[in-house]
Amino acid sequence: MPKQKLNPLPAAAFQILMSLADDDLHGYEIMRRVEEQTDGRTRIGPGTLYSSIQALLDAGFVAEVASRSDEDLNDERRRYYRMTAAGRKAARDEAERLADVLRVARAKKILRGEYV
Amino acid sequence: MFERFCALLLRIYPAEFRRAYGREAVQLIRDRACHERGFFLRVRLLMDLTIDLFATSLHGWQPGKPLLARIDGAPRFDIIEVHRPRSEALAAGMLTSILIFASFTLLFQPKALPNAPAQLGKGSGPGIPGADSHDSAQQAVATDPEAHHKLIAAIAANLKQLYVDRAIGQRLADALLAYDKNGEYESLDMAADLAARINKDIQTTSRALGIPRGVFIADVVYSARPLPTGPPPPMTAEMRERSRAALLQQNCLFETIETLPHNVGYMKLNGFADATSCQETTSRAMASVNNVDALIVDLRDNGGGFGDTALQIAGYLFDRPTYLYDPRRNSPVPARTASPISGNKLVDKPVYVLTSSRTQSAAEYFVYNLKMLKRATIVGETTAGHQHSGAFHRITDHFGMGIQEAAPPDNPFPVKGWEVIGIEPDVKVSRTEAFDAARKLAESQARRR
Repeated sequence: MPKQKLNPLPAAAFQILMSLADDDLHGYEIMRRVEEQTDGRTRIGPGTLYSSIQALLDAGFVAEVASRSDEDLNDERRRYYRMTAAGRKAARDEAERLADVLRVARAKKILRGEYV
Repeated sequence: MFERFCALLLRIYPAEFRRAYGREAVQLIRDRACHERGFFLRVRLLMDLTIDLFATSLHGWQPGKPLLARIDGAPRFDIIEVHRPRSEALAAGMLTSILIFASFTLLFQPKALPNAPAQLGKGSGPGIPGADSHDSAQQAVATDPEAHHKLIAAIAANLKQLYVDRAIGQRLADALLAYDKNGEYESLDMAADLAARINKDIQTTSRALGIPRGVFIADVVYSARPLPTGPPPPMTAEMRERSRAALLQQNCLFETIETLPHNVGYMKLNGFADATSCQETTSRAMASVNNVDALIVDLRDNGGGFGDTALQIAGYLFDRPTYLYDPRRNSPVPARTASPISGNKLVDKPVYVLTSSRTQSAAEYFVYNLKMLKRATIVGETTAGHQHSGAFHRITDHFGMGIQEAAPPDNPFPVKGWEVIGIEPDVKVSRTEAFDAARKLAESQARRR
């Protein structure tokens, strides 16, 4: 059984890290946040979501937290996840790697314009 | 019942996945089913799960690191399991899951439960004597059969004594007690599921008694956090001033007001703030879009608030005083808009209202009336379906219920309300697609003008 590698970050793991950039979230909120930040193009199912979270937990990129910092938003039935400093660095590295890819794509005239 | 479906489906996932995240996966599927209603969204949910099941089975599930403590020099035994199900089991499971979900998506329409009660102003209805000291754990009432019976009896007593039509209240109470006597609530382990099932039974019985869809009857609420024991203390002048200052600092919940290309106005409003604090801000917001050729009002993140602000905004959309239906008897909100408004140019401009499954309460009052009056095109998802028109009664620390105690005003519209059923959009798209869909429609209309 191949162990999920996180270097480079798989797309789902990268999106999950980005979803956790601002808030501690539970599984369904992560799924919705990923859907929003990809304009509805990516909906992560339970298997993909939790296998990615498990890999991120193993790598120390996210941590499970007992409750959210905002107690009004807590639901005791849920598990909440928080991005760690290592996770933030991994997300930044991946974003920079993607930015490099974009620079090459622009240099090769595959992609035009300043923004994507 | 729904949990059983999910538990059955999840058996197809690798065993270690189920052990590690089975409960969360069930919750996730349930959350999606609650928010993604309608045929298309249910089919999409089915497809997503099928693809996810394939992906998880093909790629395998990698369990987390063992959590057993290592003791130097001590022997240790780990269990090795076959991670992937046999191919024939996988094929049979896939077929079964497709069949189950196909029937499930067509038949099951759950109601999203709020975590907080609708209104907390009253609490005088029958409760369960001595129950509060026993249900500090969130599931205690639901898992104890005796507490089940006491809870159902208290709900039935509330319906019998407080529902506006005593005869119907009696029949609703009898129905719930009969279901309980038949043991139909015994298998519900989760408190939220119990509340959902009771609400479903109230709805089913009320349909059989001839009450139209959309009319609020009663709503049992489960809250993981303990419910307050009484109404909040009255606000002091200082508290009111602080609240007013906070609202003004947040621009009275107007998140965005801008003019898009083709002279389309866009206004995102995340709540209807109290008009005593925000009337001027609302007037300025409407004045800033007065010259647009089409207007988009974004209520996708609007959980409600004060109907008087909703009425104030609606006033700009009509050329004469217009009746808006409010399901509350003796509502503090006037029944008619203050139209026409001097200098206003929006009365003949096309209006698009964006909705999501989170749009509720006063926001639904606004959407419902504009739809019934054919004054706006509703774009997005079916709304939440919470009228919040009843009086709230606390039953235990974690259970309460809203009840329609006073007869609602006469409703001149063909759809008699939005409780449970929500408001169906004219253009049904997901919340993430709603803005683009409305913008295209608005630009097309604006160009024609």
